[in-house]
Amino acid sequence: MLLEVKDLVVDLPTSGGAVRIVNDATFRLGEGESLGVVGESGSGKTMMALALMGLAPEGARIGGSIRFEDRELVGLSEEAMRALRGDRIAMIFQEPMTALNPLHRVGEQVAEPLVLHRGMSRKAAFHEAIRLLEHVRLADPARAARAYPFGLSGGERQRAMIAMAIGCGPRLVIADEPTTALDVTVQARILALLDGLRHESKMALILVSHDLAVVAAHCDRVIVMYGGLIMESGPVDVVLRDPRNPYTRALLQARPEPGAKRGVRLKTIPGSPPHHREVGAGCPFAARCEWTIDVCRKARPPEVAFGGVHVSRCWRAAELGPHA
Amino acid sequence: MSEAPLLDIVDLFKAYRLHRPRPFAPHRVRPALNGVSFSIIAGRSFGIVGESGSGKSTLARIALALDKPDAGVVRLEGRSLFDLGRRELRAARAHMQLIFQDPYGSLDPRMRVERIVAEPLAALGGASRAERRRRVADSLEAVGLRASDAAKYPHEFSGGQRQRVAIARALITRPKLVVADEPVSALDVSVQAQALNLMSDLQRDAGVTFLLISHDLAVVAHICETTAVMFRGRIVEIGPTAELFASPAHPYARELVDATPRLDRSTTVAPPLNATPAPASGAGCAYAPRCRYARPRCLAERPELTAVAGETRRAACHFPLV
Repeated sequence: MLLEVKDLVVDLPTSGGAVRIVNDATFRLGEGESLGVVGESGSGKTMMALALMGLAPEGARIGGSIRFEDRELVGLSEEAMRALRGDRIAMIFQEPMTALNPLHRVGEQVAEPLVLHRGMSRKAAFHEAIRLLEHVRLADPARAARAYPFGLSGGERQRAMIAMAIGCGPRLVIADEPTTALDVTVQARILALLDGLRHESKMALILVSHDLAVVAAHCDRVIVMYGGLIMESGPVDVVLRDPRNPYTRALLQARPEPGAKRGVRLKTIPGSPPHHREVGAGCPFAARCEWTIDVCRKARPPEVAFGGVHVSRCWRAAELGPHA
Repeated sequence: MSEAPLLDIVDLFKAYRLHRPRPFAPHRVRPALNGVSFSIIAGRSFGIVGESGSGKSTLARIALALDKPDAGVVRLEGRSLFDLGRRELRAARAHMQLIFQDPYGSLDPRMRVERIVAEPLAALGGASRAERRRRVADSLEAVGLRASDAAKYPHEFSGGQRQRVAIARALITRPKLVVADEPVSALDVSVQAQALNLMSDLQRDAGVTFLLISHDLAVVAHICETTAVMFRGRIVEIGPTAELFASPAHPYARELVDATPRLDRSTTVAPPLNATPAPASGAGCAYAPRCRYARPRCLAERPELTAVAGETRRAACHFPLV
């Protein structure tokens, strides 16, 4: 197993005491697999991704276990983590304009991990960077390498970010909302590029997104998060066809589908996603859920498995038959 | 008077001047609108979709007379906005309001909701205190908030509620036309549905007509009867929303539809970009360099909007797909 996450906890200090952002996350990821992590704002999805990269903010407390290539990452020194990052694990961020350094040429930044992890000379690494920029299908890679980030379009910058991420041949790439800031036509091309890279190099991908449909088209398995908890997980097609968690169901029904009849009422979820400090002992979704019973407010829901790989965290999961 | 469209846009042109590459060099200009025309009939909401740089937000600003076009006419119920005097323009503004994208940035955090929502009234010459209070209460209730919410500050609301406050503000003058520029794209999916249902209700019950601008086809399809697809400052296809999205005639509209993620199928991806640079003269179709169906004629001659697939749809393509 490439990645095994067990009971991962992320606590962030606030003025009102520590707040649990990620709560007992457990999942596994094999070589070349792709896992979608879906959630709304405050679900903890981004913090979980950052914790996997060893990039959780200053003062965060990480608990549980993250085993990557049979090595425990929780508690690993910053130095050892830095050796992994950009080499065996790489990350792609939402807004490449903020992730790229505006003062350095794109080619130098793509070359940086090669200098750092492969000991290449700056010159050789710059040439390799041009090759990488070509590999992510930038129209004029030599020009892009010499350009500064502001000289590229949003889609081109994201391609450059991907080139930087894949330079050292990572076994795991974590992409946090990699296409949210882009036009849909550009989004489709970037996601297709990631699919292609994954298939040719057998790298694994964790795709963090607010959009179930993006995950549906590009991932083998999905995790749905809410209020720091993994609410449901399983193969994408199974979870979408036969969701066993009220939150997943509500998300699916709240979404307007192109081609649906105009003005048709969308199913709404009352209220809005909770602040972390509002999440009490019970199910984080209880306040908005139409299936809520007393126990939901009092105790954290158990994990209920359907056929081994499909798991829902809900007191009433068994009652939620196929599209009840 | 009922014959005149609610909003009539005729042949709008607008170009922005870019920075000079060096002092005294001629300004380069970037055309944002390149001859855009359409009409909105009262009661039939109109959608505009397109990618960034297509000119859709420039169009929204000009439709509200927040910006002047280089050429062209905007008529609200038959009256040309740019020929009106200042006072008349103010009065006309009562009939059209704007909803912004960001419910966080567009509400002043230091103002109570009452003042925020009443703001457009003041701009119209004001109303008595009692009248103001009553209309704020009406407006808040129309969007599903409570009259007592008027005493709160923006930070006391969730994102979805804040967007309701923004909509309440837009409704207080009882406008006929509401221009909504990406009204739900900053909202979480579970909250977005509340805002979309509210917009549907307002269309039906309050007689509001929306000019809705969005990159999200599903959002436009949910609200709008007619849709225009824009590309590089021009309308490339226009027609009934359902037909247009079911079988787009313009290759760019097709690309947009195919690229939209859907749960019921995997996204079809267009082949990589053609390397052919855009024709410098601007003579041909602006989409031709990206178009997988392009032929030599497309680079030489610009296609005009012409009827395709019956009476109701028009596309600017020499070789439409339907």
